[in-house]
Amino acid sequence: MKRPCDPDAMAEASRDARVVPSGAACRINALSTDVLLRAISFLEARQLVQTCVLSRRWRNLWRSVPRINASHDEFDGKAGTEIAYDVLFKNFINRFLMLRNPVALHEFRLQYNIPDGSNDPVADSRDANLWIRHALQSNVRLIEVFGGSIDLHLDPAVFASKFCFVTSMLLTLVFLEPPFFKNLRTGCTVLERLVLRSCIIYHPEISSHTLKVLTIDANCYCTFEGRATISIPSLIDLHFFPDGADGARIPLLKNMESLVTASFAFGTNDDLVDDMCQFLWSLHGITDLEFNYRGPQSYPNLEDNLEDRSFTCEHLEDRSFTCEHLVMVKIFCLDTYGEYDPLVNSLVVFLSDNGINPGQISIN
Amino acid sequence: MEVDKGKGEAEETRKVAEADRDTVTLKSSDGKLFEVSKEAAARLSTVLAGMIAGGSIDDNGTDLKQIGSEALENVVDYCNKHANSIPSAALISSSISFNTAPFKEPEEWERKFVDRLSHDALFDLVEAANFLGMERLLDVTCHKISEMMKGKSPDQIREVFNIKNDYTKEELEEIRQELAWAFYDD
Repeated sequence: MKRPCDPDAMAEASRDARVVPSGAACRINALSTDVLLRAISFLEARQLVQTCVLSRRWRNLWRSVPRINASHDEFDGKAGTEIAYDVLFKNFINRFLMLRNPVALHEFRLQYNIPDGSNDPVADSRDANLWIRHALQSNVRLIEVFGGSIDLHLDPAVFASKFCFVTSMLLTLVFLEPPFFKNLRTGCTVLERLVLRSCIIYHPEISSHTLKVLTIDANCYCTFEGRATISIPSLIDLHFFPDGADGARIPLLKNMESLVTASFAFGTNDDLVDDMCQFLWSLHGITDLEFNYRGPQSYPNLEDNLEDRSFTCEHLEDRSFTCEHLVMVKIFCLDTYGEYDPLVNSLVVFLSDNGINPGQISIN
Repeated sequence: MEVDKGKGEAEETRKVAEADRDTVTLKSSDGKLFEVSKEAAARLSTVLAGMIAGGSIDDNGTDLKQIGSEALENVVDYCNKHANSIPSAALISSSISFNTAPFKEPEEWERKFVDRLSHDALFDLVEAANFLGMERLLDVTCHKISEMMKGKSPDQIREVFNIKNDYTKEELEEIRQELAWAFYDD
């Protein structure tokens, strides 16, 4: 391939950058192909492909970029109706992925859209699932998927392949059904970071041997009843804030010996103090723990329930609570009782009984 | 320290003395010297990290013949600024390898840092970052280049970067036909 700029001449010029008037040399064509690919891979897919007309050097660059930004918004308004530009977008990405060189992909970002009034969101999610599968087969490391106003239905089978190299996944507005977490464990065996935002989640029984960071944000919604189970011996950082049908119970933690920082939200329910005691007992090396109480302003049976709970706590008192690394406990209360909330008070007593100095507890 | 206590002692002392220095001196192609924190250099540049670990750092100035003084000054400036900006999730990032995090948009100071550069200085810095294996700085500078292209027509991009269109009219037409799916509305 001919280059309009001679790289040696460029290297010469770069040593004396100030002398050459800006604009006189073609610096961008003098970059190595790897660096140039890295730069243009920040462009959105359509503009990226269109760089092929700039000059001969650029003709096939788009086929080998290490990062793909496939954004539905880039097609917004390019055709008459929403359905029409949806077709353009899908046609474009299908061609793009098909004609791409078979080089390893580092990062895949997809901003998808299912048209309003879709009768079959599962069928309308099919292209996205194909593309994500393609990215995984291209050894992608980082995946970001933004589902759109109608939740994208992610097909769990996409993640079951044994040869996924993905290390980080950020999913927004996505519908996750079983066996999503199970397939992640068996398929994505080097996944270290999983962030879920505004996702709908069916029964999170989450176990992994590799995850280090797990975030399930406050806009996620759990459709299951009962309690989530998290068993991740490698996990360092946990944020667990989903809303749920069942008063957002505190998850049951198993094998969490690496956990260093954790924050979680919980609502008021009958099992609260039991859950919390169990939660605290399952922590070992934690240094930073944040409770986020999301209960109602006044909880009618608080006093009655509290007695039950206190009893339960006393009953379990002989079990040791081993958070000796815990340096600070922050309790956030949204209700008007604040630190006078008997529930909070019983928690403080529980923590104090287990060796947490009152000075280490802050209540907001 | 447990093994080879006797004979390695002198060597050990020298290494400790070296490790005690918390800066390294870098020398540009035109002979200017720059000091940079050893910790920041090792953290931000895989090449410098390798040199520090391998003991090939020269106290009188490690020669970087491929990098001019202006670009090296920017590299050092970037390292110092990076060292001063405390990452928000310091606690987490320290225990988790950098590679697992997806590309993070340039922070405010990084944006300002590349925005003030002239066209040539930007490209000099891209090349220096690439040479030194400075992944983040390379991303930030490459991202800046993409911003200079974003939303512009091919003609406008050619103008910004002084790219000579060496296609014939026929070739361009052929490409547009071949990739009609990418050019449908032009």
